[in-house]
Amino acid sequence: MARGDAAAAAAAAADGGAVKRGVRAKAGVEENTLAILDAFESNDPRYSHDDRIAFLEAVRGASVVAENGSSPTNKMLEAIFRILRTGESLQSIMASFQLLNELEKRYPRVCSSAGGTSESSSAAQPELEVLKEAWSPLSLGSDSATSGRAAVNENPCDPVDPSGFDLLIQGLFTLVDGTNHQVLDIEPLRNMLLLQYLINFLEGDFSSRRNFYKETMDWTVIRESLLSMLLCSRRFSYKNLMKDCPSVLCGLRQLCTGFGNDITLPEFSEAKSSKVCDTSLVIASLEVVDNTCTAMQKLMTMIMELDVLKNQADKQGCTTRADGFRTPLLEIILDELTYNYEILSPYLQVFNQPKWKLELILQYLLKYTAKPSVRTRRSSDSTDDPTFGGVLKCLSNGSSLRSLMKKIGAETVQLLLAHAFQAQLALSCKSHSGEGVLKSNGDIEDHSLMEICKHMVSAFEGLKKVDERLDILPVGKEALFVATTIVSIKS
Amino acid sequence: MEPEFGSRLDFELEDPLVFAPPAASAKKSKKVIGLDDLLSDFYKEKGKRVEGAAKRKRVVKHDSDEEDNAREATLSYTLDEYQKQMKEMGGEDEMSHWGLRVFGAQKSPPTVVLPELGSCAIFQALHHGKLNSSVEDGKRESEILEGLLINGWLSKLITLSGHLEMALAKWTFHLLMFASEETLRISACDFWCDVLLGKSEETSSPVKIDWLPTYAELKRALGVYGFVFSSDTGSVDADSKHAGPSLNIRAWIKFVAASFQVRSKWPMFSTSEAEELTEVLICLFLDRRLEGLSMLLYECLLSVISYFTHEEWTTSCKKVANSLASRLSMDLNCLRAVECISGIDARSKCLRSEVAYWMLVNFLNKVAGEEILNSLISINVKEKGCDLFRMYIYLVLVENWLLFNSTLEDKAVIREMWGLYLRNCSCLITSTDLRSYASKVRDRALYLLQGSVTR
Repeated sequence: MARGDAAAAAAAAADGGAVKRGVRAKAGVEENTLAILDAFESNDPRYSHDDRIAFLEAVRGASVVAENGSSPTNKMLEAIFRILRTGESLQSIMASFQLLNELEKRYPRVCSSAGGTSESSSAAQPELEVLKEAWSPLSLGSDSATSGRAAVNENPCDPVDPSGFDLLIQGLFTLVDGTNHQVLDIEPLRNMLLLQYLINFLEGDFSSRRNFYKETMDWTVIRESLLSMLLCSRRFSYKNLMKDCPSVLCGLRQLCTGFGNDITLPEFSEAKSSKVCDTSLVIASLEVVDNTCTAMQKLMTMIMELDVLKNQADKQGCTTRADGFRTPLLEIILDELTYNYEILSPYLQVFNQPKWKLELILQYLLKYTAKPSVRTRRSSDSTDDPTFGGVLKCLSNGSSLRSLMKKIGAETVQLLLAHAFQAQLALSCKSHSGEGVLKSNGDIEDHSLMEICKHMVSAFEGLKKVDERLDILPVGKEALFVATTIVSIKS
Repeated sequence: MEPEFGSRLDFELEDPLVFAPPAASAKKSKKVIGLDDLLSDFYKEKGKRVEGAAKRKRVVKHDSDEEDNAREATLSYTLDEYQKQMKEMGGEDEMSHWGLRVFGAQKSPPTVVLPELGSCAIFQALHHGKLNSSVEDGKRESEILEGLLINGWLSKLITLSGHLEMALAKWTFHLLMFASEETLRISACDFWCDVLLGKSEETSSPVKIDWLPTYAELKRALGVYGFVFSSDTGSVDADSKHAGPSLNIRAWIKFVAASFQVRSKWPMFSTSEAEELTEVLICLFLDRRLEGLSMLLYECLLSVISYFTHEEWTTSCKKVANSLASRLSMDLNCLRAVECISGIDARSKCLRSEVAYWMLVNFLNKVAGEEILNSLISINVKEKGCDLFRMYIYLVLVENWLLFNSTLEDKAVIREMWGLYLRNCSCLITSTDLRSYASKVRDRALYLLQGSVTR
């Protein structure tokens, strides 16, 4: 068959999908699909850029654009995935990345059906539909399969296995660790897009399982989630990998600001075509690195949520030995930040999931405050969790503040307090109306926000009292400024 | 040597007999041998001969190295030349690529007199109240504010106070559009997105914003980045030292996407402005330098076309399509312009179909659907002089026009003609047709035809 086949065949599929209203003969779909694939694969060694793009556009037409389109077959998905993993041009990797994400959204692998609809009214057990046969970009099969890290990149069309996932993140680590912060080439961009897609995929699976779990409290649903299976894999060291995550985040952010500031766009001189390419790579790098940073945070947040669910299940005795043991991510990060002091400040700046940021800082502080008041009171379960307000109250006591400063240093105290305050504000912004917080007094939580602001101010005054020559860090000043402003606007 | 080569090639091109498929390299598939394949084979052969000759010579005259070197130099030079030539010729037959320079030289950002930041309520409150000396220690207001902005405090402060003052709004917007530091522009962008989109819709009354940027401001910023608004894209000065776009374009796109999502709270743009911006966005897709932002642009385009009310959309969609069509010339860019419209919802489907339709109208000077198809059917694809590249563009445009428009589905006449047109393109062009784009037109038509049969 001729060269433009992929294009034409795919266009046919698009046509069938987009125009047709009624039920399309299944055979027709299959036939067209195979036609695309035959053409696609026969051209394998050098199927041209154009054909790839046309193929993507056509699959998109048939499966995403069409109102009653059908999910692409596994072979087609493999082909798209291969384009993402081997594409040499910005256009082809961006297009395949976008298409994969769109497909993931449109045809999730896991979805909870609302159980029996109307006929069996009372017995409506929600059910989780898992398309086991569906293609997945991750292969989490048996750990015993031929191991070896080198095997990862052997076949770029194969799904990524746990050690491959590990390699991707390690690749980021070496990338941001490198001293030459020059414009990225197409390969790191490709790997970052791949990682983003994998994280999206994990999230799609995990979030629908989590929703289902909330209704049914069936732990096996979570245990079988791709994320949980990935983390339990013995083919990479979960702990080592997670330990690097904070540095990776900081590095990514630095990379981003690095490009953006230093590199003025290449000037156009003799070699115009290559310069155009440079410009597009600079712009693409900024975008992709930024998004990768967000995706990594998403991954970490998901793992921490998984940890919480597992903890719950542990308490209820739902877990078995099969679940294995895994150090909660929060602890790993905490250790890493304690051990690696330089990244504490940049990490707190980058990581912007307020809930988990607050949690992290509270745990950090709890490690060093002698006997947190909240823990000694065993009145009810609800007070079991430390709150920022509680910690601040505890620190208003001069001696406990002094001992904390002695243990972790005044700078760290400032950093932690300032960032915890910021996270607290972010949470308040999310849950409140703009006017309500400062204008209506009645609400208890508003009240507590005011309290927190006041406590913040006094905590910093306390710091000054302990050490008169203390320099307040910029971020401390900002926190103080904001706290004072909120108090004064209010009063 | 060179001219001889060229003339021989031309001659070969004319002569179909020369193109007997080399049996040895026949692929499994019934692959039509493209012109460029033959060329490359030919040059490979030639190259081997030349190399072989060079080797032989080297063996024989081992003593005169210098002469050898000189010869090698000329040889490698000629080889390079051939290669270049080959590329050029290959390029002609292969797709020419899409890509327009929509950005010319960057201009220097406007100097704006920003209102006094010290007059902001947040500072006022401090001055009145218990001002903590350690907080300000002589810093200028803008320095303090920059810190607050970069570390994300400002958006929280504004959200909690429920009021964004003019001075702050103008200052942050200016940073978003023109700051040369990545951190500042991204922080400013996050700030605006937070303020505009930040809250749950049902409970909150929106933040009171004293100043909102107008469309003119957005347009000016884009102009500063070097964007050329006039439809004459040929005038873009590519050689300038400060060629656009500025890196602020990312923040610009994000801001546009956010501001078009909040019409119910802050209607910032008129209908005609939204129309113009839709067109501008599609033009941004055409610049290869923005390829990495295609996801961002996709979302932005969707949010802009969702801005229109239902009534507005029916006319606006046509207007945008018409004006866009008159801006683009007949090349692969117009296909890219059509295909960058996502088609994921009813509106973008409609836009895609309309854009394709108006391009056809423009290129063919016909208005009625039947006329368009009629004139396409009347083109004789068998004729030597028939421009198959044009045919290919027509075919893809018609495909987009018809398949993305659900109302045309019921028109039997149109469908009949579409079928006829496809049969023309697929049956009248033979699989051995060696004209460029012949196989592309044929294959596309063939499979579109199959698609319409199976339904």
